[in-house]
Formats: sequence, C-alpha cells, structure tokens
Amino acid sequence: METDKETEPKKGLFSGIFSRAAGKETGRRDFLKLVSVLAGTLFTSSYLKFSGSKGMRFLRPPGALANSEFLRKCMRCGICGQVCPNQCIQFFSMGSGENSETPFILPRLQGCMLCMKCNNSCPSGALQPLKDDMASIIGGVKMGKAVVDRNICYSYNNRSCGICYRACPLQDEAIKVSIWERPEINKEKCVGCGLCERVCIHYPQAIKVIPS
Amino acid sequence: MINTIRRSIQVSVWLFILLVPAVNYYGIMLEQKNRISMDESPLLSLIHRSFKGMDREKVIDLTHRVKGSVWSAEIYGFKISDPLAAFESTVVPVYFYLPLLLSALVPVFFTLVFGRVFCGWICPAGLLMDLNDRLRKLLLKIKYNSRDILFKRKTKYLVLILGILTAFFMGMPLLSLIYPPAIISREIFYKTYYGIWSTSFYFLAFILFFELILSRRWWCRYICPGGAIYIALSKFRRLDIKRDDALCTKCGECDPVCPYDLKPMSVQPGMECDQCSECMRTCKPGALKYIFNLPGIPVARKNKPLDNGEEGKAT
Repeated sequence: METDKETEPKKGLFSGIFSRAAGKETGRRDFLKLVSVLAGTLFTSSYLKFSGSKGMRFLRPPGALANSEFLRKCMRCGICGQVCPNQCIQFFSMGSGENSETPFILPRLQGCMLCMKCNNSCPSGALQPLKDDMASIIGGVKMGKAVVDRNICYSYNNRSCGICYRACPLQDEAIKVSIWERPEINKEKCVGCGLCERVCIHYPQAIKVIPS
Repeated sequence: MINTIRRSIQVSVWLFILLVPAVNYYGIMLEQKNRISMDESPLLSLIHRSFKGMDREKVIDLTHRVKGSVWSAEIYGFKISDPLAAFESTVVPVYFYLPLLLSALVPVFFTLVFGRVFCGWICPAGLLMDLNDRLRKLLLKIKYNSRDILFKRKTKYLVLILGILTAFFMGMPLLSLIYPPAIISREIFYKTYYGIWSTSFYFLAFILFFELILSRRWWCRYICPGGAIYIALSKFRRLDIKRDDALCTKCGECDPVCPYDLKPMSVQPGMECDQCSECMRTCKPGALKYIFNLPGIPVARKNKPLDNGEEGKAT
C-alpha cells in the first residue's frame, strides 16, 4: 500500500520493525523480525506473573465466574461500580497485573447487600445475571464462605454479642445462633456477602469471609 | 456546517461521559440519603437542584436509566458496546455471550454503512487529538517545529492481532487497557466516584504528549486496535468523499489538513478515512463532496489520475 514517495518514512526509531527503511523491500529479514517479535511476546506473556495484588483477600461481585474465567471475560468497563448503591465495589489500578481495572470488594470496608444490580447490568457476562429472589441468590451467588474464629469471638468467650446474626441478609439459613448467640455458619447456604465481617465489633474481626 | 455538527456531536459525547457517572453517583447518594456529600460537591448540588420538586423514588429510577460510557453503555435497557470490547471479550475467553454480541451490532452496522465514523465523530480521544493538532499549529507560531515520525500504517493490525494473542496467553484482555476511549471513560468514572485518577491516566498523557511532540496522530494512524477493527469493517462502506475533477484547482490545501495523511487531492481517501470532512471544509472551490453509493449501484470509487503523473489509488 505504502508505495508513494511522500509517505516513505525516515530512518531512525523503530525503522526496522515498524516501518520500511528507504530503498529496501519487505523481504525475508522483515518477516523474520516479525516472527521473532511475535514469538518473544507470546513466550514472555505466557510466563508473566504480576505481583500487584498478591496476598490480598478480596471478593468478586456477586454472580462472578471462576477467577481465571472472570479475568478473561471482564471487559473493564466499570459499570458494576457505577450502579452499586452500597458503594462496596472498588477497582484495582492499572499496575495490579492481571487484576488490573477489575472490580473487587473488601468486606471489612463495605459488604455486598445482594441487590443484584451489578450483575444484571454487566454487559460482558463476567458477572452472570441472576434473579432478585432468595432461591436464586442462594443458588447462584458464590462470593465466598464466612468462617468464625472461635478463639476471639465474643459469643464464644462468655460475652453475648450476635451482631453478625443480625446483619446477615439470609438470617436463620446461612447463619444460626445457639446459646449466648454463638454464630454457626451453614456452609451450603452462605453466599459470602461480607456483611457479617463488616459489622463484627471485635478488632480484628472474629468472622471472616474466605473467597471461593 | 458539517464540521459544526461533527464538533457538537463530539462535545455532546464528552458531556455524556462526564455527566452520566455524576448523575448515577447522585442517584446513589439519594438512595443512601447521604445529604452531606451532596451538599459538599457543587456538581451534585447542581444536579439536585435540577431534579427539584420530583418524587424521590422517581428520581432514583430515572438516574439509573442511562449508565456506562462509550466503551459500553446502557440507555433505557438498550445496550451498546464497542466492537473491540465485544471481539476481545468473546475471543479471549472463547465464550459466546449473546447479549454482548448483540450490543455491538449498532456500531458495526454504522461502520458498514458510513465507514470509520466512530473515530472522527464519536471517539472522545479524537477530540483531544484534534485539539493536539491545534496545539501543534500554536507551537509552530512560536517557532517550535514538532517532529513527525512515520510508522507503517499496517502496524495497527499487528497491534490488534498481537494484542489478542497476548491477551489469550496471559488470560486477561490487554487491548481494553490501552484503548484510549476505554481509558477516558474509566478515568472519569474513577474520578467521579473515588476522587482519584488511575495509573492508565499517565498512559493517556503519554499518548497525547508523544503525538504533540514527535508524531502527528500516531495513535490513530498507526497503533489504534479499535481503529483497525473499524477500518476492516469499513471495506463495505457506502459513504465516500469524492473529488470532482472539473472543480478541483489542484491547489493542494486539503492534503496537509487530513489528520490521517490520506491526501484527498491526489488520491482517493479510501478505507482509512473517518469522514471527518476537514478536507471538504478547506476546499475553496467545493470539489470534494460526500457521495452515498446506494446498494445495487456499482461503486465508482477510483479517482482519475492527475495530470502530473500521480496515480489514483483505491482501497
């Protein structure tokens, strides 16, 4: 295409790979350069692991696919954060490696209140749409599972508290209380919204959501 | 006239990107009954005053009708996505999600009929780059001669294919991190909601600065992967800019104006043309015109060669 004399590029920056040097034709050397660039990029990229968000415990918004699938499918548009009425969805910055610009929830800062707005407005299907009723929330939302640390929980240490039980949106299904309001988590029903971790009055929190 | 319409569309797209997150944020604040941050921010209190007298529930519902940005938007339940987003989010996970593919149909249809109109008429980065062209002229006035490094035009296809392959092997979409419209929409959303710029802001600044000093329109001409998709789609376009040989005085004023360096006087603009109509505005005799080729009629795209031996080119 670029055969006009006016468009002929100057020698210099990137002249080997990206622009044709003056007087030369595209030949075997250019092709080999292209192939080597291609192979190098693919080789590096497949072994590249970033460390931006390593060791961080975070949840994905409700309805998210499994993490590797989610990272592939999410198109980084930010609509889930735009519609969240609880402002619990935050975003990783550009330098966070494969997690760059993806949504996450820190349950100690703000839990998800299961309004099902983010996944129903997700354009790419990384957050699968779910109906806003109890059965489909219990069946479809798999953000994580809550775990109680019985060594520090007030209710297990002779002081009645029960605040996590009161905060849970799936009361008596995901979380049950026994004597002195000791929380017991039903692993099958817990969706991992993080509201219990948000309200826990012990510091550090005695109930934690472990992401699945 | 056409240029005024184009500029007003570009400005209204910018207003859309700026206002939609603000209105959505206002709706969230209203839902939370968060009066403090509403009174603190001048923009939110302005929106609050403009919605005055309306029912609260109705306002919350209204603010959620329109959401998103140019990368992906939802307007009254109707979803529109960038073709690059749809392409990448389908190819990288190898997962066909029908609503996503359907949402890319409108821009694809417009590109098939009118050519690469997104770049010249809608793209928010396009307006910034037009401003950069003005800045280059200003720099010329103070005797600063910006350089103009040329790359190969086909580099953008390399970026597109290499980007998709790299994304596939890395397991994350990379092109959405470097595509300027996506960066701009995300940055404005982050600024409105969290009060900070993300790191990709610096990448956008780098693109603009490189363009200002070293290479005119380098991103749009040589690199942009979204532009590559639009150009590939505009092969079948019906709208063209055509030169009337009888009127043309061969003054050559339209050639340096073209942001894509397509030389509308000596050769036919071709697939890369984004219908920005800058050349038509410059042409004093009015020799350059839009031609809409209806389907069924053979497309007369090729220009006649000029007298001075330069050959006409069609793509």
